[in-house]
Amino acid sequence: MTGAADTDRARDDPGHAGEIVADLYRAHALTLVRAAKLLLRDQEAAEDAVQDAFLGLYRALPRLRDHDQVLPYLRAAVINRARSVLRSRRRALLRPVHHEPPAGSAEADAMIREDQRAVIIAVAGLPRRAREILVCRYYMGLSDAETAAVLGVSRGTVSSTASRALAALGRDLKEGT
Amino acid sequence: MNEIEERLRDAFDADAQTVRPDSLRPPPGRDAGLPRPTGGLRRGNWLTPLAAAAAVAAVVVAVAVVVPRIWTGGPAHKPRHQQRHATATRQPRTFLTVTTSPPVIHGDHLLKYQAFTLEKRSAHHGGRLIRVLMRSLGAIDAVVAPDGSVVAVADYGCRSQVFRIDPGTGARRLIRTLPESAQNMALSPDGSKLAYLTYPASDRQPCGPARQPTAPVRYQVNPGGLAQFLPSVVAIVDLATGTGVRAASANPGDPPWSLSWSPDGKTVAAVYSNSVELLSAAHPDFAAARRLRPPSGCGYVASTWTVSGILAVLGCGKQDPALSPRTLIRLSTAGQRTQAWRLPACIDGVHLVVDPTRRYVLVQSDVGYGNGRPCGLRYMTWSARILRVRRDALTAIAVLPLQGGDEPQVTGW
Repeated sequence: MTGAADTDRARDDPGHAGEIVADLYRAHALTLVRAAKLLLRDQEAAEDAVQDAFLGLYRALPRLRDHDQVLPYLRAAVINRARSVLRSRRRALLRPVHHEPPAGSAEADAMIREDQRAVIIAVAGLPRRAREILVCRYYMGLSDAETAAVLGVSRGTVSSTASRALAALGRDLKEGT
Repeated sequence: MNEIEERLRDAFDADAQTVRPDSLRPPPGRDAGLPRPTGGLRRGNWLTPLAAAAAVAAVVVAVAVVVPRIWTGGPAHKPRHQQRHATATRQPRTFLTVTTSPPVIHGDHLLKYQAFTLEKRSAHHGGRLIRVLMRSLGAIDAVVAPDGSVVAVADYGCRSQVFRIDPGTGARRLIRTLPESAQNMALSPDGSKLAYLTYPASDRQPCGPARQPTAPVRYQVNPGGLAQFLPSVVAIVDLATGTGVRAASANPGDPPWSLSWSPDGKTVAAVYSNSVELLSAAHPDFAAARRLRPPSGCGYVASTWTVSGILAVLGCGKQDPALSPRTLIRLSTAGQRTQAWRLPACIDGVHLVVDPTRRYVLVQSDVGYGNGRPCGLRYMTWSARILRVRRDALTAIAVLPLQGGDEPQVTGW
């Protein structure tokens, strides 16, 4: 993990900034890709989002004064990238050419049960902010305060949105069965 | 924790497990030649020391090369395509198509010749057109070079022109004129040599028009008589010097097709007589070529060469394999089948394109061919489906309609 001395050194030495980012990549890339995939339903796009977030971190590292903010910065960057991808997809849908979602592999399909798939599909039908909050809370394991910081909303918004999203999920899953 | 929260955690964890640590791409800008971490590794220790060193090197390169360009705008004289090279290990965001517009004929007079347009399209937005790079009356073929520029050939029959185009601005420069037809081009991995198909020297082609007619032209079918041969010669030319080597196939009536270079640049693969032939790039000779034979009753229709083996389209029709290409397979250079994907049904034509890093492949499959259900125009739209080859699946990135005369064909990405 980065320390204050590390970020100070990164400001002067791009090589050291590289080491810090490589450490962060080793520790967090997989979790971030998995979280982004929950938002985007597409691993390649999720990897793109995480890769862009780390490239952004190379640029931002010398300016980051608070070393505790590196991980929240990465989480927020990944979620912002995921939003951009979703916006692009919406624009693509408005054009006459078709845009087909990727088909899951047989192996991936076999790894997830039918009831779990139903939950994932129901989450995909929720509004964007609700999905982000659920992923932050129930996949990344963030507290409401941390989720609020990552998404740039108030703590009350996190609680109320999560509560509404859970209620909607409950209804959807009950109807599904 | 209530039941919904428990189910949510359970589903998220299960879905997350479908992203395997060993399937993640290397860190940004990482050297393509270094080994990737393999399976069985856990979060927190899956980056080996070697990979960590590579990641650090990549980061240093990225910081030194990419960031100053993004922040300062880069040197003023640097073509935009060269800036793209820094992130060469990630998959391309754009692909190239050549759209053929049919001639306009009125009675026995021709009002407009057939024309070709080279286009850059988005791989992330359903094939949206980004920029027209070139228009020509000579048949265009184009690929992306390792430096990010586009190398395009305009074939006028009696001669061909080779251009280098900046895909960011569309600015182009003639880099060589070849004294013959050049079709189905493939650029060597270092970008220095061009492999293409041409006609035997005894079958010189007439020169095609360079401009549209200013008045109706009387239309004649095959004015110089029927072409005696098909383009049955593989030619390899050094773009800097113009020197080259060539090899003629044994049967001019059954020409080779689908040229591609090995990642080391020493071998050129061609589909010939239902097999994949591996020709030496220094001394090409069909008699001495190594042949990857298809299973009995089948034939290879198209192929391309990647860092993880040769991808080939296999057809197993009773009369002609080219009429039923249904499977994309990955072959080792020894001809062993290592992976397979199912292609869409009702394919009329199929075409493979690899990116300059030899990692990412696009498949163009033209669907709508056939008479009975579910094929045929009565049941489906005739269209070019552009599919991206992924580890476990083929993903459609664009579906381009083929009706209306204009027919796009993917040539590079």
